[in-house]
Amino acid sequence: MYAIVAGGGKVGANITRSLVRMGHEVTLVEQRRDRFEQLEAELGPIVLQGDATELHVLERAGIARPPEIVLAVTGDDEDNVVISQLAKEGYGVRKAIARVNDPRNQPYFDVLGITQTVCATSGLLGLVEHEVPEHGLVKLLELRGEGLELVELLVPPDAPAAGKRVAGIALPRRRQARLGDAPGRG
Amino acid sequence: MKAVIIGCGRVGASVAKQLFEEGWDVTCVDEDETALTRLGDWRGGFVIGHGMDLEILDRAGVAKADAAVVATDGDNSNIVIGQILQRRYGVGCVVVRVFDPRRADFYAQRGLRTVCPTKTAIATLADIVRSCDATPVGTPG
Repeated sequence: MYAIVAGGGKVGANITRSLVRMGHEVTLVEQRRDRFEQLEAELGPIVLQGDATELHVLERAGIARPPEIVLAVTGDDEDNVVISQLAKEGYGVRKAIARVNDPRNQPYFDVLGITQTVCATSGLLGLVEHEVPEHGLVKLLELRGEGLELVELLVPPDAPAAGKRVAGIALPRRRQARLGDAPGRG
Repeated sequence: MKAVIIGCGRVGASVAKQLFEEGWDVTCVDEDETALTRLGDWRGGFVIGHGMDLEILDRAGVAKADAAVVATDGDNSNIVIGQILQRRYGVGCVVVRVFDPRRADFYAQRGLRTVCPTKTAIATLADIVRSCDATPVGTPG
């Protein structure tokens, strides 16, 4: 697989190391001169210096091939949006995954059609919520693209719904919820 | 008619003042409150904050704006903010400054009105040289 990683911070550098170890072909783009030199000394000629939001830099990185995946993981959310758009809309890259640095910027990614995003802060918050659930609902997984969310809810043994399959419970149909039984843990 | 100007530097401030004098209801947005000094005796609106912040955009009243000019010093911020104003808030006339000619073209092809001062400068400079009464020496190569 060929991958372009935009942004050589901790995230980008570690992803590149892992992908290379797994035998994939990677180009890592880093803008800052000092950081680039550091990465180049370690990883060799797969590191490219430049601004990954500039088309000629992306082209030097081989965006026109196109790569199977582009990872937009710089520290600037606006840059990650633009890199993802250039890759997908400009060069037909099938998969672009963007890092969201500030969770308050998530709507920008959503509105602009960048469906695959990763936000460390939101992820951590999810874990905290898992420990201290709000309204008894534990968020397990959010599938933004599909508009689905997996949640866990513990049904007390004396509840009317106890012992029934989810499909057999009369629930308000405000939103067309797709329901499924999860393998219970007790 | 309401206009929101995001990025109140030399360009943004001048556009804001012109539109205000022509009778527009104008609100400016800038991170730096000293940007107000560029507006002189300003009677329009001013919101301190970054355009990459939905709360700030809401406070500036973009939902009711007929037009928006996005001219912060970051190309990518301008591109992202401009698209948000179009798609989330439905602002009819959005104009975005983009210094990089290729990014300006790329987004112009996708329905964003971009203005690229770099392209204008290149064309003007070359035209002036061509119009000078000088003959090129030899052929390029």
